[in-house]
Amino acid sequence: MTDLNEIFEYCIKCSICQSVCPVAAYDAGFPGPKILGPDLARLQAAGEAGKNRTAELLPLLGMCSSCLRCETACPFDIPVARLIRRAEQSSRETPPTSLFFQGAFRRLRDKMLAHPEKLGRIGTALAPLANKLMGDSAVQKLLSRALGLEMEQPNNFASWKQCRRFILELSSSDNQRIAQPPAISPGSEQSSYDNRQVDRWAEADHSSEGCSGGSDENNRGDSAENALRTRVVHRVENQSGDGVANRSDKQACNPAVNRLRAHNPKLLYFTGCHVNFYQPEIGTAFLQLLKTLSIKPVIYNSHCCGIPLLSNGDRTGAHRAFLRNIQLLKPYVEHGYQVVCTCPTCGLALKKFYAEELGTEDAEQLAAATYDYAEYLENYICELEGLIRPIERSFIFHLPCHTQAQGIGSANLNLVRLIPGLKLGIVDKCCGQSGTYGYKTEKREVSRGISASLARQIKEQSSRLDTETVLTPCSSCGYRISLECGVRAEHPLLPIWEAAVK
Amino acid sequence: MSYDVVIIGTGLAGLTAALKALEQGLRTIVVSRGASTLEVMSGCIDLYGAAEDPWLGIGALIRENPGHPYALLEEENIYQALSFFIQEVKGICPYHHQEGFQNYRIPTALGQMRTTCLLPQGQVAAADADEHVLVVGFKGYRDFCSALMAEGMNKTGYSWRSIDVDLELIQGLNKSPGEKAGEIAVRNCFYQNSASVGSYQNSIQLAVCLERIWPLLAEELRPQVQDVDKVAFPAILGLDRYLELQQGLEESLGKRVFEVPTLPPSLPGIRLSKCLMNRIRQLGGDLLQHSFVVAAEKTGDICSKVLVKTAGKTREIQGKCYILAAGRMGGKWIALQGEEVADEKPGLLKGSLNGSDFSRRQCPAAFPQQDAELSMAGIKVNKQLQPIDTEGKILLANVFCAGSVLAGYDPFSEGSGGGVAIATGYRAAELAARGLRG
Repeated sequence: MTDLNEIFEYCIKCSICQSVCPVAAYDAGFPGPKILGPDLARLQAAGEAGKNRTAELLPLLGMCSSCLRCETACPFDIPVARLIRRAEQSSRETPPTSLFFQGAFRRLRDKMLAHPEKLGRIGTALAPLANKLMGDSAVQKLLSRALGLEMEQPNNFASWKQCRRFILELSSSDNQRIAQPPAISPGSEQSSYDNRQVDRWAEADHSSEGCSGGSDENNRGDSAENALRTRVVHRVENQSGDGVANRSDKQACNPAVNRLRAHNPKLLYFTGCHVNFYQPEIGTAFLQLLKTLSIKPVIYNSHCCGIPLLSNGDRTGAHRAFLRNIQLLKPYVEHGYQVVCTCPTCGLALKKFYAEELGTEDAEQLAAATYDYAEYLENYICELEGLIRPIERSFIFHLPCHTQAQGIGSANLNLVRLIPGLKLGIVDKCCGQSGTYGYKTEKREVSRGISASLARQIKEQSSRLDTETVLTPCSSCGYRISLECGVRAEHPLLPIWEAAVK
Repeated sequence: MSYDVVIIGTGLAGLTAALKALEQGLRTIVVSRGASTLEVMSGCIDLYGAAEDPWLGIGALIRENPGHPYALLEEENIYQALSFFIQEVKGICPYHHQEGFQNYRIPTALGQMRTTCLLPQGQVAAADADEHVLVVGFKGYRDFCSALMAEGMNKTGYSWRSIDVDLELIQGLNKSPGEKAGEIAVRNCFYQNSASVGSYQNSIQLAVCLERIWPLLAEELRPQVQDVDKVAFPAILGLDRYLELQQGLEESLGKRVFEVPTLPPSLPGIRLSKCLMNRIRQLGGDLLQHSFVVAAEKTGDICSKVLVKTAGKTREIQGKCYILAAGRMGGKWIALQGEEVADEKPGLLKGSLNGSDFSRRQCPAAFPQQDAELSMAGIKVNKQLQPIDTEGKILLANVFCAGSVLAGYDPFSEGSGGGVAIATGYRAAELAARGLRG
């Protein structure tokens, strides 16, 4: 099932994708994923016969928010959103000629939104000014009128000082910031970056199978595991909170069980634009947590994952960004590094979009080596349980669409649950922001409609648990949640850091 | 991460099994290919629909067909399982039952009567249909025909009426002072983005919309309901706030209101699946969606791990035991190591646990000789719900099967799908816990 031209024939039109699509629920003009995905593909394959209907549907493709709920829900593994994306990319070649000026401004806006990296560099350099300007309601109105950009509560750029702290964090722990591909050829790994990358157990094994971790590797890793465990100083009795079964199962600490875990953790942290330019504290928290676990990561904070380009219609630019990242990451992946993301969308890009868009072996190799931070830390649950101190707080936990699409279930939630004494409520609806989607005037109503139903879920939980903090791994969801519900949104790493490191 | 129990499938059987496993304190993960099958189900749960008294019917069924899944259980097991289910969904997605889990009789969207055992809150007023009922349809919503339902009922001696409401007309979309255009759009069910030529109303969209505008609907209907006993709607009365919505409609109409399940996507099924999944998460269970079990490994008669295809890579999931609740044709059963399932087309019954050492002969029921038997095809199990071969030898000792993956029954003609799913799911989790405790 790889050929996109045949794959849609596996759709049995069960309509499950229609029922999970947040856009279809709030826009009567949106036909829904089934019609725009497999149905449209069938029409296009029919050629002349399907021409009229195809022409009706093509202009609606842009309303898809790429939340990927349709793909997550499809029991037949149809890449519904991918079919929509393909159709949209092929129809984009002929932009509508009407509304020329508005069109030009909207294109300018899309270009802005497509380049968070450039925007971020300028923004952080001028943070005090930029934040003040973006916070001004007159400026917001102007942006909305002129560019069709809805920035009611903009994310604040991190100041230079905050970024500096993050960078200090990077340099203080022998972390390596990479911008250029390291000149590593197999066999010369040790000599080329030994001084920068401390690789404690390197001599034990040089095979690049670290990601999959065979059973023999686990045996060899025993001594390292034991060494690590002796550093675990205090162990807090895990209390069950909010009806959750006691998770301090000794089994999880058995190295034989942790098949995924390499005895020789080679980790590359893909930071992403949000950490680089808006909330470096997430990156700092993650790095400090890794430090406590004696993991020394390589840092990759050089480039954007490229998804904003893709979702703003610059396919060529997106592919360029994808290829650049793949090229830079390839040497690490080949040497058995696990690429870890703290942003669900970056993670999904590396795991799924690169391979889908480029279809190259390199992309697939990278996909297989990519982990969400929570998925990665699952292998250190034993150590974390030892480190984590109880926190008497309540949180509402939001499960973002792009975390769900990664097929990692509630790994994020499970990690937070390690903290004894926490009270958690869970919400799982789409926030409607979808990266840059919610910033666009023409999508505002739909986006707000989707948010409203999540906001209601959050408000119910918020009054039940008496809390004003929502934990969500996705920063763009966090932005929308705090805008809609007036609550604080935090990355789950922050309370984990608070409990384990602070 | 190692689990006590790995449940494959998020149908009614898998979800019930997960809740029972969590209740017993087991570390539980549910692996599913996608959304729950419940999303296309009516939300009614049938125990045994082919007989007036389901319990007498089940007794007769077991005598006639000793291979039936109900024959693997005691009557008491079934009773306990149903009570457990009712208890689990209480408050969030309430279900009702008759004394002793007897059958209800409810009208269908085609105006026929059918039997079922458990009814969701929205459908409970449908039981024992009254003589005078107003069936309300919605203009432009093509999945429910009010006239068809009324006509069907009237053929069997009732006097029902039908009416179609035009939601666009009753919405009163005039701008009130101080209201922005965007806020009107939020009020409007049929908000369309300008590029669209047609309106694509689906059940979910109408359900979400009715949560906002039901008071207008009630106002519109009030003059029409004076001479009827009850009011029937297609099952689209709300997605999250359906309990409020139904109560609100009943209060302002002064009549009891019920929903009639119609074509999928089905709101009653979606509400139930959401309720069960949220509960599983709340209790600390893990749910993997869009994860395809592509292979399993075994040592002797113990399944040691399953390989799950997720975005970008294949994950290994280890459990001490496994509950296989993957359904039938659509479920693509697990295959053993070396067996390629990834290319299998949906809808093809490839076989149950046939792998290197499982052959056609060992799993006879999986390959029926005649098409007529296809509906009974599935995995043969013993009383412990473990898969067995023709000689009765246990094939996998730490695997328990539940739901329609089981051989020997036809959920459609018997009207027994829901009952078997809940009862065997519950039982499988009990047996798994017992096995783990030694």
